[in-house]
Amino acid sequence: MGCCFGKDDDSKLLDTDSNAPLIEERDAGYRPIRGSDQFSQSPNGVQIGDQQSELNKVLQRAVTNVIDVSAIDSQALEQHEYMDRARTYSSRVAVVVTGPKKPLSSFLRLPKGVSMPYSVLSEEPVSVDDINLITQTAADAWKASQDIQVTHKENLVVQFGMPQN
Amino acid sequence: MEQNLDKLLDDTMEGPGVMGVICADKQGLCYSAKGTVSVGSAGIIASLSQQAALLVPESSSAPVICLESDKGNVLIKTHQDVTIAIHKMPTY
Repeated sequence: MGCCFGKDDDSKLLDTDSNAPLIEERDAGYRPIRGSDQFSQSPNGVQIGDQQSELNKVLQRAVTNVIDVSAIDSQALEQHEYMDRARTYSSRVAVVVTGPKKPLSSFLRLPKGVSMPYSVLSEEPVSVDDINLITQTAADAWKASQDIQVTHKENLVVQFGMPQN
Repeated sequence: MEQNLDKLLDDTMEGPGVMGVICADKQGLCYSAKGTVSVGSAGIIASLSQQAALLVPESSSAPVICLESDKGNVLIKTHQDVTIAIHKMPTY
């Protein structure tokens, strides 16, 4: 009968790749058997084990690449665990907030011109009368400034060290 | 001459709550000052108005600046190349 193996060593068979030839090419006229012919000549037990190991390898590879979200959700937190975590996170946030002081430049500093800024900020906005007053006055001032002229009264260039006549 | 500008500032001083008026050119040269304002503040108000105008560059006119404090409000406005500031107490 055509037994493909020189020795009945199943462990060697499990380690080999599925596409690798099962026997070495010692005979010149031997053609490697692939596909279904390969399994047709193998013992049934060995064939099933080979397929199972390959299937396990594929499954293992898929498991390492997949994050099972449903499995994570199934690990529901108990009430006390939830409270413990909330307390831990709160304490860490408090440490960050009240921890080492940040440089003063990172804080918004109000000007010191107002002793009670909230009273000023809560007041009414600038009245329309004031806006009209300053706008009209500025326009009139520009018109009035057009009349200003520089009158020449004395020499603009003065020579130092020259005797005055 | 400058009589028109002086008269304008005098008339402005007559307004309710007005305590001081100053007028300056765009380079901070004081044209005239009346009341509580200092002549030396002309350069500051001119520069402040120019900086405030940079906040809204797409606007065709300079903004009205209002400095509020316990000692009254200072209104600043630039028209063309003339800046004017009015120190007045808020009226309600």
